[in-house]
This record gives sequence, C-alpha cells and structure tokens, in this order.
Amino acid sequence: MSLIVEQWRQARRTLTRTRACMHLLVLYLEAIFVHPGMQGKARAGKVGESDFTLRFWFPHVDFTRLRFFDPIRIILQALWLIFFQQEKQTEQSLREARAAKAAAKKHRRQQLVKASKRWVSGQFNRFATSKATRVINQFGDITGYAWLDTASIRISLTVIAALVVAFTITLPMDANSQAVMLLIFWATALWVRDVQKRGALILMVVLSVLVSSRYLYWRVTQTINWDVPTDTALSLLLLSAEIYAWTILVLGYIQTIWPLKRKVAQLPEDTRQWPSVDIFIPSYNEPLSVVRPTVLAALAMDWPVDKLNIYLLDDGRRSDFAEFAKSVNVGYMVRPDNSHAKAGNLNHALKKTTGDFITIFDCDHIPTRSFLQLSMGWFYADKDLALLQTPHHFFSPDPFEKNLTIFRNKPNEGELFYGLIQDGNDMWNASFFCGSCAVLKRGPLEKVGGIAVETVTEDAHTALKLHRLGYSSAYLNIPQAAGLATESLSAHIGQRIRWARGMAQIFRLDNPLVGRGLNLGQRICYANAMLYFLNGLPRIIFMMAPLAFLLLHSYIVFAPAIMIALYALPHIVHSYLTNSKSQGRYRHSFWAEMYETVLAWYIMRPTLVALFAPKHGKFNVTAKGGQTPTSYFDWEVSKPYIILVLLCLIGFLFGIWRLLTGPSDEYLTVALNLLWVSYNLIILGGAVAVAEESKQVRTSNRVNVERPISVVNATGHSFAAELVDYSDRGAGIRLPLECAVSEGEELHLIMAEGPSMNAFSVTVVSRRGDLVGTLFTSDSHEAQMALMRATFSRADAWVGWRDETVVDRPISSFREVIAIGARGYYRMASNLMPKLQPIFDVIYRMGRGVRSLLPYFPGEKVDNEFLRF
Amino acid sequence: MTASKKSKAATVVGVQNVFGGAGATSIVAGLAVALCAIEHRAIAIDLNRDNSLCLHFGMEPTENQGIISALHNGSALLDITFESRSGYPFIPMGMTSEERHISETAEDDMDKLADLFAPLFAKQERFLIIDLPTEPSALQRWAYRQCDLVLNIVRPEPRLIRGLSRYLVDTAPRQVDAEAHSYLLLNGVAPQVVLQRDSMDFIRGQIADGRLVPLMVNSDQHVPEAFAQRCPVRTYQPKAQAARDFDALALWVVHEVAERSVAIVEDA
Repeated sequence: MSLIVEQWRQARRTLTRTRACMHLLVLYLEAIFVHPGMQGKARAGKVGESDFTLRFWFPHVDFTRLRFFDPIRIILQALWLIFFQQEKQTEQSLREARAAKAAAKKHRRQQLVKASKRWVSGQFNRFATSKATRVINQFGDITGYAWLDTASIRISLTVIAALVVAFTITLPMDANSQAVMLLIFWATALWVRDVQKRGALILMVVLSVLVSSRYLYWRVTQTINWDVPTDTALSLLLLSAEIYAWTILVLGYIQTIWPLKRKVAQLPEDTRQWPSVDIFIPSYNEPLSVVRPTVLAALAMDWPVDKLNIYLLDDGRRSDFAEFAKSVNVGYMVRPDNSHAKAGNLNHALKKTTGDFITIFDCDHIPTRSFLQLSMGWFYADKDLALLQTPHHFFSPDPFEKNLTIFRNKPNEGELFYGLIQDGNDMWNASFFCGSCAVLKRGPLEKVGGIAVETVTEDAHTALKLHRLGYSSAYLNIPQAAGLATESLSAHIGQRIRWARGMAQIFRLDNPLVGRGLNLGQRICYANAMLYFLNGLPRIIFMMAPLAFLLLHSYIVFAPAIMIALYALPHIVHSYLTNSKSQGRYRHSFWAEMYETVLAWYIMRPTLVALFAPKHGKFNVTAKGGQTPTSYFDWEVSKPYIILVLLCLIGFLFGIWRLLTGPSDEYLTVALNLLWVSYNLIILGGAVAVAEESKQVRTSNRVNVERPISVVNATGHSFAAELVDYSDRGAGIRLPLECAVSEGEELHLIMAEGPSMNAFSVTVVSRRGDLVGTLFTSDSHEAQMALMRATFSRADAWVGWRDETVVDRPISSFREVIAIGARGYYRMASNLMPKLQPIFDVIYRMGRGVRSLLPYFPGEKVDNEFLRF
Repeated sequence: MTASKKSKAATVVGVQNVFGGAGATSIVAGLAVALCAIEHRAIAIDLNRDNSLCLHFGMEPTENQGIISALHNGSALLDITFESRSGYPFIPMGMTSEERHISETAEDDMDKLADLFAPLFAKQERFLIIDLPTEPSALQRWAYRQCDLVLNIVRPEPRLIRGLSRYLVDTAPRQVDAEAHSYLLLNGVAPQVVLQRDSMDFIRGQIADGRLVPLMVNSDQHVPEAFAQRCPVRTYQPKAQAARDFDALALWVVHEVAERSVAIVEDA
C-alpha cells in the first residue's frame, strides 16, 4: 500500500490529479496484462519516461498523456490488430518459432506417458504446420526444374498455358462465381506476397494480368451502351483509356519482371592497356559556380593522366569559362552556331577529339573519382557493348521532395526508373542512354552518326539507333555521379514536357515496334518507355470519368454496379498488390498517381502534337542551381488542377444530391462514383500541394552526411568531430562543446582521403550548441580539388543515400497521400482567402484528427503532429 | 608468431622512437590506456633510462621504484607494478641513487630481467606495451626478442631523412632478425602544414605499403598538456582527436595480432 502511495506522490510531482490517476491506471494495466515483468520497472521508472510495450501495439497513443479521442483510437487499433493485422513472417520470427517448437517438443516428450492422446494431436499439428511453412519457403525455387527447359516442352507448355489463359479470360460467370474465383486469386496473391522469391512475383504478375485481362474482356464485350450516342462516345473514350492503362501495365510487368542487377566488371591489371577517355561537359547558360565542381571532380578521377582528356563544351561562349578552363588545364570548345542544342554541341566535340571512349556529364553532374574504374570494365567483358549508363543521382531535393518535405525519406520520382526499370531493361539488353553519367564507345557512336538530332530526347534515340545496329548496352546501378535536381515545379514540368515530346517524336519517326535490328524484349521496353509518356490524356479521362455519371447521368460502364465492383475492384487491387511487390522499394503505392497527375495536363498537348506533327517543337534547357527567396503558391501551374478540383467538387455534390433524391437501385452506382471522385480529389489535392514552392535560400545545396573528421583550432588543439553536411562552399560540423570557437575564427578540418589526410581551412560563421557552420577559405584549384576528393567525388559519396530496405505498405502510403492531399487543399484555400485562415485551420486540424484515428502498424513511427489531438 | 614461436602467452608490442622526441612514450601510454578501454588487459612497461612513462600515469617524479630497483634489490614484479588513479597498470623503469643502470653488456642482467618478467609473459590474453630504448644495447636486443611487433615512431619533419635511412639499414633488420614484425607509425601529423604533407609523401615514397601502419596519430596540443597534468590524454580530454587516434591504434593492434596468430595456426 505504501508503495502505491509513494508512486502516487511521484506521479503527482509532474502531473495533474486526473492525469496522474490515468497514468497509474495504465501502468498497472500494462503490468498486469501486457508485461508482468514490468512491475519492477514501473517502480523504478520516472514518471513520463517509462518505455511502455503498449506503445509498440498502439504507436499513436501516448499513454502518459491520454487525449480526448484516444479511447476511439485504442478500440479501432485493437479491433484492427485482432481481425486484420497479421504478423509479418521474418527470419527472426521464424527462428523464434523454431526455437519455441523445439522447446515445445521437449516439453511434450516429458508429458508423453501422461497424455499420449494430446501428444498425437500435437505431432499431427506440427507436421501440418511445418509442411505449410516449407511450401511457402520453397515457393518459386525453380532450381529443381531444369529438365523442363527443352524447346518442345516449352512450346507445348506455352500452348497449354495460352489455352488456359484464354479460357479464364473469356469464361462468362455470374456474380457469385466471379466473386469466388476472384477471392481465390486474391487469397493466393496475399499468400505469396511476403515470399522473397522471384517465382512469387511471377505468380502475382500472372494473377494480375489474368484478372485485368478478364476485366478488359468483360468491358469490351458487355459494358458498352450502343443505344445512346453520347453514352457510347463517352464509354468508348473511357474504354480506350483503360486499354491504354492495361497495355502499360502488361508492358511494365514484362519490362521489370527480372531485373539484371549487374555487378562491376574487372579492368585489366596493367593500366597501360586501359583505353583513352574523352570527357565532355556541355554547358549552355549555367553559372560557372555550377560547372566548376564538375570540372574539378572530372580532373580528380582515378584514371591514367595521359589517357584522360576533359573538354568543357560551352555553347554560351563565355569568357570566364574560357579562363577557368585554361587555369585548370582542360580543353575548351565553342562552335560557330548552336544548332541542335546539346546533341549538336556533343557532335561538334566528337569530330574534334579522338579518345577511344566518350563520357558525358551534364555540367552539374559531379562524378566520383571511381566513375571510370567502376564502369569501364564491362567494355572488356562484352566486346559488343557500345553504351554503359549509370544512375542520375541528385543531391538536392526535386520540387516534390522540396515542397512536400520528403527529401531522403521517401523514394523520389526518379528512383523507380533508375532503381528498377533500367535494371529491368538491362535484362532485355535494352538499357537506355540518359544523356549524362554514361560512357559511349566512339566506333559505334560514329557509326550511328553521333548523337541523334532528329528529336528533342537525343539520348534515348541514340541508344535506339545503337541497338538497331546490334550493339549492346549496360546499366550499372551504382550512383557514381550526382547533380542538382530541377529547382521548381514549373522547371520540372518543362523538363518532362521535353522528355514526353521527344519520346512521342521517336515513336512516330523511328518506331521501335517496327524496323530492323531489335529483339522482342527491346521492342517492348522501348515501346513501354514511349507509350508511358502518352499518359496525359488517359489520366485526365480517368479524372473526369465519374463526372459523366454524377453530372450527366450517363452510364459509361453499362453494367450493374455490383458487377462493376466485382470486375473492377479486383483488377485495381491486384495491380496495386503486384506493383507494390515489384516496385515498392522504389516507389510507394499511390505516389505514382500523384507524380503523373501533376504532369498529365502539361504533357497531354505536346505529346499529341508530337504524335501528329513530330517535327515541331524545340529544345528547352532545364534551369538548375537557383534560389527561391520566399515561399509562394504557383497559381499558373496549378490552374488546370484547380479547375479539375472544382469540377470534381461539383460532381461530388451532385452525387450527394443523387444519393438523397435518386432511385434506390442507383445507390450502389452513386456510391461507387462518389468513392472514385473522392479518390481523384485526394490525388488532385496532392498535385495542388506540390505547387506551393517552399523557399530555398542557399545558393549551393548542402549534402547531409555523418562522417568522422578532426578539427584543429588556432592553439593546435585537435578535436574529434563529425561532418554533418557539406557543399562546395561550406561545411557543417558537430564539434564537442569542450572546443570553444567564436565567429570569424579560423579552423582546420582534417579529412581522410584513403591512407592520407587533407586539411581544409575554414572560417566559423555560426555556432548553435555543438553545431558549427563554416565556410571554406582556400581558393587555390589544388585545394578545391582536394576538397572535391574529400567530399563530392569520394567513391562512396552516394552509397546508402536512402534506406532502400524499407518496404512499401499500401495502407501507410495511402495515409501519406491523403495527408498530402489535405495539405494541398489547406494551402490552396488559405492562399485564396487568407482572411478565412482560422476556419481552414480548424477544418484542417479536424481532418488530421480523423486521420489520426486510423490504425497503425505495431511499432510504426508516428508523426508527432498527430499526438497533439 | 605470438605464443608458439616465442614460447610465451602474452602479446608484446614494442614502441621505439626512430629519432629522439618522436613521441614513443606518449604512444605507449595512449595505446595501453586505449587497449584497457576496449576491455583488453594491457600493461605499459618502460625500458627507457629517462623513466618518463610513469609520469603519464601520474607517478611523482621523485619516486624511483621500478625495474632497476627490482633487479638490484631483488624485489618481486608485483612490487613494481603500479596503477594510475584511474586504474591503468604500468611498470616504470625506476632509478637508483648510485647512478647504476642495467649493464649494457652484461647478459647476467638480461637473465635476471627474463626471470623477473617470466610470470607476466606466461599470462594469457595480456598485452604488454613496452617503451623500447632508442639506442642499440643488450637490453634492446633482449626486448626485441620478446616483441611480437614493434612500432617505430616517426614524425613527419626534416629529421626523418636520417632517421629513416638508419631505420631501414639497421633497426628494421635487427627487429626482423629477432622475429618481431617491424612497422612505422606516423605520429604528430598536422596535414595543414605544407612541410608535413611533403614529409609524408616522402615517407610513402620510401617505405613499402605493408610496413606503414595504415593510420596515424594527429598532432594534438592535448598530448603535451595531458603529460604536464600527469594523466593519460583520454582522462585529460576524452574528446581530443589524439584519444581517438589511440583508440584506432588499439583496434589495429588487436586485429593485427589476431591475424598473425590465425596465419601461424594455418601454417602449422
């Protein structure tokens, strides 16, 4: 009793009476139900600091500070945990299960005589369980089936499979049978989802393609209303968008079914056999401060000096560039005209140089010193290799990352392409050239007439031409150069418009589906890459489709709502599940919709124009390395989305009205359309959220790292410190408080470079706690090159940039996308009517409160913002 | 190399200056303390006649107990093994009032020394870090024979040219003859000084890669200040870079010794 009194006193020291009461209650409940061993800890623990195990199961509930809605959260979470959430089968849990099983076995043996009946049943259960576990773990292991790999068996299996597939797709069924079949498919997909074997993914792809094809077959054959002309037209419009989406889905599956994941190939031991390499750094209007690090890093590359020639190709004809090139002793080239922009610039240099290989870096892509040593080996391993591409890595946030503050937390827009698609292409010998961070062999390049100039995406077209001549290409997924991402949404859109237009041009002028020299895999990969950029129109159609019914009362899918649900939902669920499994590490579920929606409107027109008049259009240069002095809302960019949002809102209201006044047999149809339009609204909200440009005041982007360095002060005292960020101008360091420094003081930063050490003199510009901001003071090229070698051009500079082991969880991703959508509306509303801000605040917070009620994965990290409600 | 060849169980690491004042004594103190900090049992032993190692561990300069007194008075090893205030063990060289020292020629004294240290050498899982005399002598020869590896300390400064050539021609061969692995360790490195950078380049040009310890001890004012305070750097300023360098050196020594014993087992 005295113990309880003592605990009460302790709790009361920091908490109010009610809170202290709650605190102790939860503490005792926890001790009794969750963790009996906690009693001692609770006695010893300080109030408010106890690390509850309850926190693991209820990550969004702070048991020391219960809030008003927490009871609801607890109930929802408990229900979800009990009925839905399954424990993930990890190595650890398997091991634990095995150990537990062994212990149980021992125990049962001791009980053998006393309860033989129970033993028998236990044995049977164990047998059944172990059988099931083995089946799951061996799933997709094809090593034992090599005997199937003969031509005749392959052909006959394909024929049988084709017949079965055709049968499955076309078999007409009533609602019940359809439901049963899809539930079985769905259960199978969920069953194999966590199996880390290639076969599991292939099975999921097969199921997804089956379900989607069945859906499409049903749509084409049974759901077009031919009686009402407007309905027919709208219906066909939606159907064509769906056929497009199905095509992209299937092509995408084929493209990424088996990523090659190439490793580094060995170069000859004797460096005298290494080839000569010309490095081209084209520039047009970028400032010298952006180009300088690239040139210095190229100079610092580990390659025999007599075999490395660097050329700065300046289409801007600037005198300071010429002077700089001269001072660091690199080649400087200008040409009489700027025809064909970057491609023309490169082709001009190609004619004037003689190196065996050509390496191209965009002027802001800073290569690491190991770039050539890691990438050149494959040209010895494969004599037909004409192109080796490495990923484009960005050390500054792109507009999505910047405006949504997700830099290095979430996979960015480019990660899907460079993390998965290019590796998938590599399997089919179809890796594309991406214009920078790549090595090209001079012979083949000259055979195709240099860099292609017919389209505005010269890179992809050049690769296509090389592939047509039978040369191979390779992709090495190790970031060996890093650059600046586009700085604003409008610049980003501008860049993507160029890509989209270029791809559509190639599709028309040099269609990969026809013509000589390509294998089927290459045709599929190229076709998918090009068709992908035509997604503008279909996406807008999908956004508008539910309005056809809600506003115009047009049945564009002429079928009972229940059948639509039974066909369409499995198609959507399977494609999400399969994509989450194959791409989850590189792009989280639902994010693709947001990325594509932002671009949809803008790429729609240029791609359509390019499809019909491919010779139109000019090259626009992507702006990089600038500042955004204040935050602002880009109304111009978001205008089309705001119109779409308004239309969707009207549709939504109409839907509510129809629900209230319409006939009862339409309820389900209205509900389905309302769901669809709500989803569209969420995604559109995300697109709007990106349009608020957050401010960016630093002219050079800082790269965050954690690296031990030492700091020497003026008195010769040396301290162990940590480098926390750097740019080419300054560094942030974590310095022990024992080292007193003042603003303006000179320090030396000592950084290791292989076995030796480099010192860089810096001036302190700020100190806050143990964090010290500094600016580099050494100006000489030698010092700057040493700085490059110690920072940007370290071989491991971009390794482990983002934790890629985090798996995609569709429910968490959906919550994030909802959050972003809500933020978009909030920002838009408060920008439109600043005076009503307090009201929006309340609505926004209410929305966030509702969202915070959703269940969480046990142990999941929760945004602290939620804990305020 | 370790136990089997030298018929002893403990690991003995010798530390010797390539030229006077290169910092061997500080390294011995720093290394022994760092080894203790990563839970290895390490004892610092001084075989230098100026008897300054003990000052790193806080012994009074007037104290004269140590190996010399043990040899002449016959006291036991335990009597001359001291512990610093923070608990780091060390054995000082000691001094005698009669200005007597270990005879540089008499092998008798070496036998006595061997007897004195025999129980310590027989102990397993011990690191004995010895501050070796710089000049060749019977004592140095005896010590070389006990060492598994010898760290020869060099500072990147102009004096190293002479020191390095003497090391390559004379010292290193003698260490290798005594079956000790001979390494060079750079101490007092200040990369911000141009002359030092040049000196380091010079050393790299002269010395084969395998012979240079792949890490270095930075120049740090904390080291002489700790000495003046008569305490190890780790105690004086735990955040000092020199303390981290000693930690790294300790890890390297442990790794190196483990590698060598594995190699020997495989040979056998």
